[in-house]
Amino acid sequence: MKLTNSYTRIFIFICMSFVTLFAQNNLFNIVYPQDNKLHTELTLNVVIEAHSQNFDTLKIVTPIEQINIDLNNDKSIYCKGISLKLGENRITVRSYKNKKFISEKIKHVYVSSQLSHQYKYPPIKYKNSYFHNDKNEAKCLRCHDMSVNEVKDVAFKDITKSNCYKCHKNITKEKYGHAPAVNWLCTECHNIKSKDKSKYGITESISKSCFHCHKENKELWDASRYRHEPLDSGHCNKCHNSHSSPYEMFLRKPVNEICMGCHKDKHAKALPTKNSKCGFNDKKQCTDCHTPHATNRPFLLKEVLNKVKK
Amino acid sequence: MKQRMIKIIVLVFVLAVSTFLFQSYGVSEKLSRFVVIMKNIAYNLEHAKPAYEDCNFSISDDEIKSIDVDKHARELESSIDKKKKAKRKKVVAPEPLAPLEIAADEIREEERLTHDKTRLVKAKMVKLEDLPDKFKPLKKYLHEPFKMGACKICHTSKNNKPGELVRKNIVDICYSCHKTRYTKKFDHKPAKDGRCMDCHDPHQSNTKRLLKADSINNLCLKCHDKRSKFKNKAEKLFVDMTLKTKHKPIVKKSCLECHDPHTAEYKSLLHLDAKMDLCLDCHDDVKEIVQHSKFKHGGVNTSKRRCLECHDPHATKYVKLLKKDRVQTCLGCHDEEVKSDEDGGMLMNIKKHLKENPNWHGPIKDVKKEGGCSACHAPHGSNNFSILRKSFTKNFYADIANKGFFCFKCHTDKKIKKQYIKSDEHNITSFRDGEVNLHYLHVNDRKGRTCRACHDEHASKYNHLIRDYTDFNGVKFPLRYIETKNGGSCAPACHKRFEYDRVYPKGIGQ
Repeated sequence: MKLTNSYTRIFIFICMSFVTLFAQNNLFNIVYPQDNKLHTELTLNVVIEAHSQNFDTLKIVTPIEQINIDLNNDKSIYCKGISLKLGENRITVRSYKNKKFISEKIKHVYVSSQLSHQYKYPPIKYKNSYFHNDKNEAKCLRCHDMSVNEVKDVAFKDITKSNCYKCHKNITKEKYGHAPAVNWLCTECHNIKSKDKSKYGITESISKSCFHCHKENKELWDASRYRHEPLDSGHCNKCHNSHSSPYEMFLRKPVNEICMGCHKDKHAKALPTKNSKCGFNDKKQCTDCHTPHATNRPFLLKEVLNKVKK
Repeated sequence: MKQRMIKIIVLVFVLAVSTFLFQSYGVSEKLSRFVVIMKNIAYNLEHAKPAYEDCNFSISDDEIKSIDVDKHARELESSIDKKKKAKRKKVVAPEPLAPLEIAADEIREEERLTHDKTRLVKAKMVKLEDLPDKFKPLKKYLHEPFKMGACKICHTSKNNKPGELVRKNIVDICYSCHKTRYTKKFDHKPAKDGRCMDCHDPHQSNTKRLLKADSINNLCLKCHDKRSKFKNKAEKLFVDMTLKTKHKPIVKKSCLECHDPHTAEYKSLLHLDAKMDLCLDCHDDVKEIVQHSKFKHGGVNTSKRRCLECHDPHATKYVKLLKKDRVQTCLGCHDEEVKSDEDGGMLMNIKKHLKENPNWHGPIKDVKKEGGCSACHAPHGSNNFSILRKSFTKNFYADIANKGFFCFKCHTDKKIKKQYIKSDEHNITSFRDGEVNLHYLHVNDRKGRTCRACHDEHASKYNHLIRDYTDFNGVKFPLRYIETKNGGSCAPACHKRFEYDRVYPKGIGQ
């Protein structure tokens, strides 16, 4: 009894040590994102832990692009910004040595959007997960200063000095940049330690953060009789991208597309375009007659209609 | 059988012990008492009257509204405080003040004394011609007993000494006729000590009230001049009336406009409270502002010394009787963050701000010509925020072209109203891209930015008082202004870096 027991123990130990050795030698580790991550932005940073003695290049393959990373002796953590598409993204990381394929790892990321019916409800297996916790940050400390170095309510004169800028600069690359984001005052909004243990979470209804600065708008809208639902529920970020956007007013899409995302039925019914087959065009926008926030007129019609009537 | 027997024995034993205990500790009595008490309670519950009977008060809502709860609460509080104070007083009963030595029998208001000749019948009158030589020639005003020749009221000739007095203390002699007793809170030291002769001559003088100087002011300055021999006693007791700006009442009338030479209810021998009431008694225009303006200056309203915080009541080197020069006066308090009376926020440390930023706004730079801080701020109070002399806005956005804002009192409003500036009007503004007026672009809009969005009204590191940081609802964004020879560029939070050039237009705002 005793003999066999000790033998089995030794055997298991040897097996385990082999496994660990094997893992160290031939595998790399994707620190972030975790598998089945739910995401809302179209950009994402991939963090990979790999040792240069085993491979010389890594290749990240996404539905949109392929990125090569050359490994060097100094580093063991590699960080790369990638672009994603809406819906399910399959991110494959392959390792090579002397152009010989060695191993690969796959992670799934789902980018959801509140503005389209198709991607509004992600499959249930996808969960929110965040990078910024102490365990993950410890891995970056060798190269990056992971502390928040912004002075509260005072923007950087030189934005490149922000510690957030180095990794997250992709987020502000679009034409129209929101002032706090472009000036890297991240903690104006990302100031809550969320349930999911991210250090820089946001409030559940984002409007709290928005109205911290946009006080005048809040006063005006609160006094109005009819309010648009996303405004009332505090989801400003449903239509606006709080970082940067290619469209004016930091909208996530062109105006009409945004409206149609929820008000699908209005596409053919809407009055100015009732008889035209093409529906809306660039010249006529929903916001010509409707205000997207709040008003005293029913159907969120604008206060002064005469100007847009043709 | 055995077991049964044991059970019975145990039972019996227990019974015996219990009965013994029952009797020895009087449990039965206690039980009966308990029953009686419970009965009583039950009876009371049924029959006794309720402590508070139901009653019908018909009070209308208006009457309820008219009751001032706060007031009653305050009254209650004050009565409680009074009781507390009374208690304290009982513990430390202050001893009654010792009566003044110079007290006379009667107390009456000061009046001009006329001597009753019948009283002096027995006294031997000295004719004016017979007076000793040192009194000649006679002066303009004579002490009445002296005039009558009733020397004997004060002097005796018992020991044949020429100036021998009736009584040892001169005061006693004075108070025997001048029966006004000085009993107010504060006394002039010579009056209190009984040194009447320090100021008054007992025989004759060329000034009214038999003063020992040619005017009231000179008499006061004999002691209270900065250069007098008493100077080292207490600095604040002395004035320097040789300075340029003098308080008018002192020059035109005398010190007695404000001070009483003998005794007074308020400190510094004043008729009214020196901090403010006394000043406002004459300065009606300031009184109106101080008491009725919407925004008050803490320096006047809540400070320790009120008016005297900035002004000297006698004479100073500077205009408006200020203790220091105009801007320096303000910086005396605003050299640290001061709490604002308006909204409880903190006012900036202007001294530090001016020190750090070399380019100053005109009125501060040229104090003599433009007037310093008070060019824009009304130091006593104003109906505009930040005690500004005219209206302005705190907002970031405003339709400023259509409102008469304060800045345009000095700066021309063509600056913001003209969309294009032609070559002959180039001096209007240099913030233009070729002929396109960039002021107009920024300001003339439903969301026009106010002046303070880009300009600092006090001082700046950059030319044209361009701000370092602009404040947008509590968040500070840098303007990142760079000046070039013919223009410049800016990269604030509002837009990315835009360049302008007066000579070679870059094409902004087309």
